Amino acid sequence: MAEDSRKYLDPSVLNAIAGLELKARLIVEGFVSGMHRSPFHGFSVEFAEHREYVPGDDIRFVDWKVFGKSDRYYIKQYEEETNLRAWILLDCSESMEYGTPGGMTKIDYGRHVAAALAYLITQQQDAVGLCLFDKELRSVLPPASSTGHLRVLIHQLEIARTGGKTSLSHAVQRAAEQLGRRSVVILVSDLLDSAESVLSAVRLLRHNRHEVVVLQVLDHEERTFPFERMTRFEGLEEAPIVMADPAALRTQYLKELESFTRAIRHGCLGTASDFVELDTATPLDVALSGYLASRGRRR
Amino acid sequence: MSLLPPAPPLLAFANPALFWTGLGLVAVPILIHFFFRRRHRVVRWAAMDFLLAALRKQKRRMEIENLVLLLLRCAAILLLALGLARPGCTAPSLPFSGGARAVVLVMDTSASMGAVHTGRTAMDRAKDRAAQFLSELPQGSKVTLVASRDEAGGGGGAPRALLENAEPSDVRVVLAGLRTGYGGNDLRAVFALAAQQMKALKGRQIVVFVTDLQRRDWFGDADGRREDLYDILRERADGGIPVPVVLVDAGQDESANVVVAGLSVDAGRQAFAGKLLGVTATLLNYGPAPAQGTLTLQVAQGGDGAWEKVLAEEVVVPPPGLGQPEPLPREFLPRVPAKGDGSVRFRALFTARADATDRDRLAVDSERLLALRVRPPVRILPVSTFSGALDLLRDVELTEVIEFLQPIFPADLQTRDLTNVDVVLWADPELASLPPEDADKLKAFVRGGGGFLAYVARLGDPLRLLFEGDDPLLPMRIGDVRRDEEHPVLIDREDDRTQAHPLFEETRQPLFFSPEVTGYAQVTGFDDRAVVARYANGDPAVLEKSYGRGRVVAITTTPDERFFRLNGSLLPAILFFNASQYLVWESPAMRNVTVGSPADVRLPPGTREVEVTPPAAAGGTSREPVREGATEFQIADTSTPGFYRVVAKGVTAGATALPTESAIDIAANLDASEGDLRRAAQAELKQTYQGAPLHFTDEAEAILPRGTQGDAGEASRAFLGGVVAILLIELICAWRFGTRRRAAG
Repeated sequence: MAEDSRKYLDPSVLNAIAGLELKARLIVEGFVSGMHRSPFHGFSVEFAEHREYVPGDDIRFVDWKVFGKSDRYYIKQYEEETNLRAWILLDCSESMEYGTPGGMTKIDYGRHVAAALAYLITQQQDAVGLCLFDKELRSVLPPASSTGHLRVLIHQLEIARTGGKTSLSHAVQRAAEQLGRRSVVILVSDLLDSAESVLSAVRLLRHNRHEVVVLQVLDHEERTFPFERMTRFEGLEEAPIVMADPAALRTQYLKELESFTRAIRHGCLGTASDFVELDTATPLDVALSGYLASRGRRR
Repeated sequence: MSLLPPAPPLLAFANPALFWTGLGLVAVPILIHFFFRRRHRVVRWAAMDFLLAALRKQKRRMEIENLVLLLLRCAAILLLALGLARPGCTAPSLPFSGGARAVVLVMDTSASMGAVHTGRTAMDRAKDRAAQFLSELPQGSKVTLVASRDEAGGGGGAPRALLENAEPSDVRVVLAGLRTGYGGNDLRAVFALAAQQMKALKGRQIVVFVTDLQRRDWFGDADGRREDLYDILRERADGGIPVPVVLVDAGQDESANVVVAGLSVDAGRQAFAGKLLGVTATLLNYGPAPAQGTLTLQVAQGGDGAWEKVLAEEVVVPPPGLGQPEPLPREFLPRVPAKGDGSVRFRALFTARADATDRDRLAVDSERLLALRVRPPVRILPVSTFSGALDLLRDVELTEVIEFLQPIFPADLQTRDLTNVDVVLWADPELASLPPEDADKLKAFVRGGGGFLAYVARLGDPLRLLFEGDDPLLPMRIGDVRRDEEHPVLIDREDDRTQAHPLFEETRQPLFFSPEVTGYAQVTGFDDRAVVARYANGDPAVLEKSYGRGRVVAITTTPDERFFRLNGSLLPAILFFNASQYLVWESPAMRNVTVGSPADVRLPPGTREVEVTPPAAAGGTSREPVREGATEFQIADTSTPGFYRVVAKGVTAGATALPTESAIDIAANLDASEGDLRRAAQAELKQTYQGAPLHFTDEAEAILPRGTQGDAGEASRAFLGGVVAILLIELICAWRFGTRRRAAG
């Protein structure tokens, strides 16, 4: 993508562009232009190699043709590769409503991320589904790979409204019931819940053999806490009101945030899940391409 | 009823309006604090969990930090206000004071202020000092002028207020015409008037009394005026914040600043009857110019004797740095006391030549006292067949204070009366025998207080009766004589015990060196505490011990020709001289003392009671019993200058106990610094009026006690410095902790 067109990937510019589908295309073209293949793959069913039969192996996988030729038992091993099924779980709780004045809110940023990823996956003929949740599961759009389905998904994203408290573990538990067979689950949320709740959700998904990608979307102000004047903080999601001197609290606040983030990162690492921190001030192509590139290298 | 006006406020300001304004401005940081708490932005915040957790952990620290910041800012404004208001204080203990004054200026107009020195009267100097003070007064000060004696007002010399609550410039005019009166001051009346005048004054009060500190006025006399004045000043001190009283000393009579700082006899510690005694007086001049006057020496003999003037001489005493002892060109011949031992007392006085009127001048207390014990020479009875030793003793010219009696042979001891003998000198190397009864007689002599000096080398078995038999004079075993002509030994003068012992006092002098000894008795079995000198090889050289009331000294070598003819050695002379005094009861430690220090007296043997008669001013005679065998007595209280007579009453030793009486005088002098009369007067006044808020000023000092504008300036600078310090603290905090940004919030 040409340098001058990258400016459109700036969150503040994207915000001004109408039509999420167009935005998604812009974003994806922004980072896919440098890639030769998508980092998302299905689960393989291609033959990989033979292995000598040992008692206990399932006799269904014995290669009888080889037995006929060599009179020895060999087991066929497959590299599983199916069509990719991806689920995008987007947090629509009230906390996602926060955004720096003049910039994107977290929910908007999350919409863009979700739309871009859906676009990308659909482009490679794979299926993608969408779950919107707060403390409950609000809507579920089962995975499909058609262009029409993408439009429906994007529409769902566009009409999604924030509200309600966050309860990741509960919402994901409900979603897990809908996800079906093994999928790539992309969780887009600010994760403003207890670390234990977040990690239990991740563990549940991993337990169901899903591949999990956690994208934590936080506003730039939430990451840096730049306030100076005496401020009255009115908590979203029914949190109490606090009058405080932010300058005095900044260091401690950042310590608390770092501590929380470290716990989530370690938890994800422990469950072999991806954890990506997204800042709403970061251009979306930069945010996504960085992660997708590293993921591509891993595979 | 107190004569004092109500106490003034502790703090006063040159610019009080600024202070009150500043005090009001202290509220500003507090208002800003609350204002900024009300003025805030509102943020609808999502990450409340982190915020609440941070708040929980930081709340206490933030509250304290905010409070400290608030207080610092209030303090900064307060200090700024204080600094600009130029504060002062009336409490003399506080480090600063300033601002306008309400002054009662008392001028001493007594006759003594007319004393002339170097062409100017004390009143001239007083006027100069007062004028200087008036010119230093802060703006707005008011002065009431009081003359301590007013002859013109018809009051017959009573104090009078010449001006009340006037401008300093008006006071200066009246001051110029002030004249001295015809008599002394009634200070009680003066202070009563000053106190009365203070009632009419408003503001920070101070009493300034320009005076010559004339002794008759200030230190009172028998009619009790001193006590009255003391009470007045006491009331002032006890009645809350005291009004400072500054005594400006305008006396400056330099000729009166001469003191007899020392008075001593040349011969040493004792005066011997019939022997010439040289007396030296040391005069010190504390004034700025040479002082001329009369030095008088008076002598009183026998303790109770009347004073006789033996010398009166005009002397010129150079100023400080050039002062020299003034030898009195007269020798004095103490008389033999009529009965037993006696005293001789000296009094030296310096009287400044009077340049001023004599009717009311400052008294000159330049006097020094000296008391000496006078006794006959020490009578030594040599027991020897070796006449050459006695000739040698005479050669060293000790006979002025030692009287050698006719030597006797040991065999003569049986018939010899020892009552008039002080010391028995046993120096007979040829002694063949000593009958036991003679040994008992010698022991009885020492037990009764006599001295026994023995050379123990080559003395043979007979002397062992004294040193090795039952109840020995000094227990030890006398062995063979060690002789080594090639390797002679010296007395170890570095030995601590030797250096500390009175017998070897002179060994501390560079003059002394011991003779090389080539033969001495090797003694054993002695108590190590008895050894007072050793040879360099460690063998005992001199041993001594008390026996009864007397003392025994044993020298392990023998006085022979070699001993005395050692080139330049003073040891024989020193030993004889010291032994002669050490072996009799006189204590070298007895001395004349400085007033206030205890006086030690060594008692003669057999003393049962001590009678102490202090100077007349200190009260009557006291008697104290003395336990048997006591040799020391201490006069603890010598607080009054003058002579303390100590009479030791007892009985003689021996079979027939006869009553004895021995008297000595001890002179208690003021410290030599008494000569600086101005300082001495100030010190005495401070002591007399203890607790009163008195201040003194010297020539070059400012009169206002720590209250000049300069002091206020210092205080202001100190406060402004405090402001700067606080701002620096804020900046550092802002840099380090970001508190300044919070301050903006």
